[in-house]
Amino acid sequence: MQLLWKSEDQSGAIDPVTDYRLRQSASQTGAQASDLWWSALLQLDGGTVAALDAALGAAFAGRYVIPAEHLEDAADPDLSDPDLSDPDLIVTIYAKPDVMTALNLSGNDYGVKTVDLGAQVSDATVTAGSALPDPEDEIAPASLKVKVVDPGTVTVAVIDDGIAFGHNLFRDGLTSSRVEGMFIMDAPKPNGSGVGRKFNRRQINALLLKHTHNGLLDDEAFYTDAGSIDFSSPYFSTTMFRRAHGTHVMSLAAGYPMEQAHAKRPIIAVQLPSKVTEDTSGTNLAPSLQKAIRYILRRSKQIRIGAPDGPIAPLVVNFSYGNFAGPHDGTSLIARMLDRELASTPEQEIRVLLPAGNSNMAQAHAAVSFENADAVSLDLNVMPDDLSSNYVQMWMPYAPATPPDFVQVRVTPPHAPQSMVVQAIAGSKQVLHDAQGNVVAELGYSFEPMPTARGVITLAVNPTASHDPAVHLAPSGRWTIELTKGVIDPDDIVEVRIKRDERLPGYPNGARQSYFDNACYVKVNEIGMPMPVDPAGSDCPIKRAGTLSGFACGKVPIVVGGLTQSNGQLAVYSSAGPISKVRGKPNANREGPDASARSDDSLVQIGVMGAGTRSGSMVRMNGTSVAAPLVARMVADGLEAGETADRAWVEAAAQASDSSYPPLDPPNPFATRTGGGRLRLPNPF
Amino acid sequence: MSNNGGPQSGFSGFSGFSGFSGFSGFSGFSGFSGFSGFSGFGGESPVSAEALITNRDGIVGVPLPTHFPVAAPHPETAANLAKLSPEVRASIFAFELESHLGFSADASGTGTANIWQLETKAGSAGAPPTTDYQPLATLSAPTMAQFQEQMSYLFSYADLRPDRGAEILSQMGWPAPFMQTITFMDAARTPKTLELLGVALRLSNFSVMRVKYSLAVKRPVVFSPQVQPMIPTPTHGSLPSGHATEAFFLARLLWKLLRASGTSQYNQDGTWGDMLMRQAARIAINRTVAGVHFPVDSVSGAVLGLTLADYFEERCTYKTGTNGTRSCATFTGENFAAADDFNWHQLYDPATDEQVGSQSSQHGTWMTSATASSSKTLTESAALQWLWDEAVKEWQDVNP
Repeated sequence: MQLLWKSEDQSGAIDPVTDYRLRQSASQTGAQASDLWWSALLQLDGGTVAALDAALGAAFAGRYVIPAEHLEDAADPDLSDPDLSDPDLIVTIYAKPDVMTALNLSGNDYGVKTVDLGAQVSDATVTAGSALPDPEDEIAPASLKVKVVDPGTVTVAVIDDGIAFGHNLFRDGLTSSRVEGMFIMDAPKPNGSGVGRKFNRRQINALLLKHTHNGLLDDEAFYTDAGSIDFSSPYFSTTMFRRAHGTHVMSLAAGYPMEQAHAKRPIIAVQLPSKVTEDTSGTNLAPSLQKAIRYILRRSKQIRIGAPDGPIAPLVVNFSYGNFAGPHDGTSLIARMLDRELASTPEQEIRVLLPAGNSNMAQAHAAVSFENADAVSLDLNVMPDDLSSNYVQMWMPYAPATPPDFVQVRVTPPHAPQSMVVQAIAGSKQVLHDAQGNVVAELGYSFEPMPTARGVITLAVNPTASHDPAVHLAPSGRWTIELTKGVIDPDDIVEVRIKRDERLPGYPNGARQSYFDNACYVKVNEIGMPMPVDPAGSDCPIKRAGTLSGFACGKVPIVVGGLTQSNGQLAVYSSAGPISKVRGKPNANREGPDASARSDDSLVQIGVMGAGTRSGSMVRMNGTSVAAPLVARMVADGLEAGETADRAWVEAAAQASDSSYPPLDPPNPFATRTGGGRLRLPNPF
Repeated sequence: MSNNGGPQSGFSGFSGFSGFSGFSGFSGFSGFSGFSGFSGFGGESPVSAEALITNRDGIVGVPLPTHFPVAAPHPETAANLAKLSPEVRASIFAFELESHLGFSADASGTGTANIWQLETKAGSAGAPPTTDYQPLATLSAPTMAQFQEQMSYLFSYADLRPDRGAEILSQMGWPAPFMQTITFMDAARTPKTLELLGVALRLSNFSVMRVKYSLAVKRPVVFSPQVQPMIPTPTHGSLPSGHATEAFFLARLLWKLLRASGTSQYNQDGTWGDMLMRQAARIAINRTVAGVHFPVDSVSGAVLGLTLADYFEERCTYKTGTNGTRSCATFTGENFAAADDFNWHQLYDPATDEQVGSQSSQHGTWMTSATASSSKTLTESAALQWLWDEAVKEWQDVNP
C-alpha cells in the first residue's frame, strides 16, 4: 500500500469527526449518500428550538426534521427544561448531509455551537420523529396515566440494551408486571408506521396474559409481539440471546422474586437502539440518550405519592454504559446531559448511577507530559480485520482565551512516511491518501468551545478491513504518534485517548480496539499477575490512572467501580480517576468513582448472578456495569428509608464498610480507584 | 450409544435411531445396558459354546425315557410378549403399525403426499381381512417464492448459534435425554415407555422419510451461499422437518401416557404437556438456527408428528366391540403465510390434548385436523395394547 500525506486546509468544521464521517460516507456511498438521514445533537448558542426551526426551514425545507417530541418537550411546562432561552440548550435533529455540513460550519447562521453526529437513521425513524403525539403513548387518557403509589415508593429506571422486561423478576404475578413504562427505541411499530414502541403497565400485562399458557410465559412469542425480537427481519436485539446486558443490569437494580415482589419499586425501562449500543465509541449515543432520559422523566412524573397531584416519587436511574474518549472533565456532551437533565429538582429527587468503566488495563489512555522530555512517542497498535474506524484524541490543556500552540504532532503509519507537523492551531491538518488518492486517515486540530475550552488534535483512521470494496482501507499495525513540546507549562498534560471500539458479545459490527503498546508499559508483575496500578516511578505515558469512563466525569452521577467480593480487591479492569480538571473551578467534579461494589463474586466465580432473558433463567455477568445497579438498588432502598442517598451518602457508606475488607493492595492510590471505599453489598439472588 | 451413521445417513441421528432401534431393539438405548448383564443367558447372544459342550458332556448322563407334561403354547396371545426380547418385540410392533399404513402422491403443483391409515375388519378365521383406507395425513409443499421469503428467518436465527450450538449438536442424536429432563424416564424405571418411544420413532422416521422423498423440498443451503449451516445438511428433503415430526410425536405421546396414568400431578392441568411442547418446539427451532430447516418445515413436521401421536394412541388403545377414534390432518403449504414463523400454539392445546381444528392465512386454510368415531368392528392390536398398558403403568404411583 503506497501512502502519502498531504496538507489540507481545514474545512472550517466545528467538529472534525462529524466532518470526517460525512465525507467518508459521501466517498463510500456515492450519490445516494446525499439522501441519507443522520441524527445529531446540536448545542445552541443562546437560541431557541423554534428559531433554529425557522432558520433551517428557510434554507433546507424537507431535508431536516426536529423531532416533534422535542418541540413538545420545549413547550411542556411540566418538564424540567421549560426555559427556551437556556444558554446550554441541546437539540436533537434528523437531517441530510448537506444540512449537517451547514450546521457544522464554524460561524454558521443557525446559532449552533457544537455538533455531535449520531447514527444514520431510517426513513421510518424520521417519520416517527415527526409524528405528534405518539399514538402508543396516548392509548390511556391522561387521567389514567397517573399512578398513585404509597409513601416510600422509589421509581427505578434503567437505560440499556436487550431488556427482557417480561422476566419474572420484574413481575409481581404471573401476568402482572412492575414495569410502569417500557420504551423499545428501535422496535418497528406493528402497523409499519415507524420505529419505537412504548408500553405502559396495562399493555404489558395484556401481552403477558396473551402469551401465558398453562402457567408458562412463551417468552419468544411475548418479545416477538412486543417488537423486541423479530426473526423474520434483520432486526437485531440482544433480547434474542439467553444473556443480555440490559436484562441482567435491570435485575440487579430492581429485580425481585415474583412471590416477594417489592410493591414500592416500580420500574421504567428504555432499550436503546441496537445500532447505538453496538457502536461502543458512544459516537451515536447522545441523541438516543436524550430521548431516553426525556421518556423516563415524563413517565416518572406520572408516579405520584398519595394522590394524583401528590409529590413525584423519587427516581433512581441506572445507566451502565461507558466510553473512553472525550475531555474527561465533565464537559462532554453526555456528561453535561446527565448533569443537566438528571439533576434533582424541587419537585423530584433524582439519583443517577454510572459504572466507572472497564478500561483500566485497556491501554487506551496516555498522559503526555513534557516535564522531562521535549518529545514523546506513542505506539498505536491498529488491529487488522477491524471493520470500523479508529479515533485517537489528543486533548490540550484548558484554554478559555486564545489557546497557545501547546504541542506539535506528527504521525507515522506502518510502512509509510511521517506526516508533516499538525499544530494546535486552527486549520492545521494532514490527510493520508492511498495510491488512488483516497483518504484513509486524517490528523487535524479543532477547538471544543466553552465550557470545555480545549483544543483537540484528532487522528482518524479508516477501517483496516471491509467486505465492501468501496471502503478505503488504512493499514493495520504500528502507527507512531510523536508529540513535540510547544508552548506548554511543565505541569500541563496532553491527555491522549483512543475511542472505544469493541465488539460487544452477540453484536455483529466487527470492531476491534486499538491500543498503545509502548515498550515501557508493564502489564504484569514478576509472577504474572496483572498490575492494576501504574508502577511507582514509571515515566511511561500509558496510564491506568485517568481511565474513568468519559460519561462518568460529571458531578451529578454516583459512579461505581468494581470489586472482587471474595478477596475484597478492586477488579483489575475497574477504571480509575483522576479526571481532568476544569480550570477556573476550585475542584474537579470528582477524583474517581464514589465507591466500589461487587462486580465479581470471586476470581473463580466471575461476575454476579442476574436475570437471563428467559423467564426463570439466571446468568453471570461481570464488569463495573453490574456494580452500578447493585448500588442503584442500595440507593433506592436508602431513599425509601428516608436517607439522602446521594453521592456523599454512598461515599460515607463505602468509607464505613471499607475496613471490613483486607487492606487494598496496593494501598495507593485509593480515592481515585474506589472513592470513599469499598461497599459490602449482598448478592440479590 | 451406537449411532448408525452421521447426519449424512439421512436419519440425522435422531431418526436414524428410530430406524435402527426397530431392528437392534434396545442396543441403541444406552439406558438399557442394565439388561446386558442378562444378555448372555436370556438373549440370543451365546456365551462360550465350548464351555457348554464340555459342561454337558460332563453331566448329561444317559438319555431318559421320560415324557414331561409340557403345556401347549397360546397362539396369538399378547402375554407371550413379556417372554420375548425387546428386539423381537420391536419387529412385531413395527409390523402391527406399518402394515396399517398406505401412501399415495400427487406430483402436480408443488406436490402432495398422502399417508393413509388402513382399517381392517377380521374375516372368518384365517381369511384375509376386509380393508378400508382412511386419510391420516395430507401434506403439500409451499411454493419456491414462499421459501425465498422464509430465507430471512435463516439469517436472523443464525445469530443464535453461539447460544444454541451445544443443544444443536446434542440433538443430532437420540432425543430422549431432552424429554427425560421433563419426565423421569430411565431404563430401570420406565423400560416399556422407552421401548414405546423407540417404536414411535421408527414409525415417525418411516412416515416422514416417505413424505420428504415425495415432496423433494430443497434445503435452505440451496437458496443462498450465506446460510452456512453449522452442521452438515442432511440429503433428504427439507419439508416436513424430521426433527419437528419426531419431537412433537414423542412429546405428545409422552403427554398421553402421563395423562392416561391418572397420576395426580399429570392430571391437574396442562403444564407438563406444555413443557413437553416447549421442548419439542425448541428442538424444531434449533434446526432453523443450525441452518438446515425453514420455519415452515417445522410447522408441517409438527402437524405430522402430532397427528401420528394420535394415530399411535388409537392403534394401541382400540378394542374391538367399542367405538374408537380416527384422526387425520392436512397441511397445505401454499396457504401458509411465508412471512410467519413457526408457532406451535397454532396447532395444539396440551390442556385438552386436542389439535386445533384449522388455521388460515390470507391465502386460505393451511392446516386442518379432525377426529371422528370409528367402527366397533375393526381389528384390534393386542400386541400394541400390551405395550401401551405396560408403559402407562410405569407412570402410576406405587400403591402397596
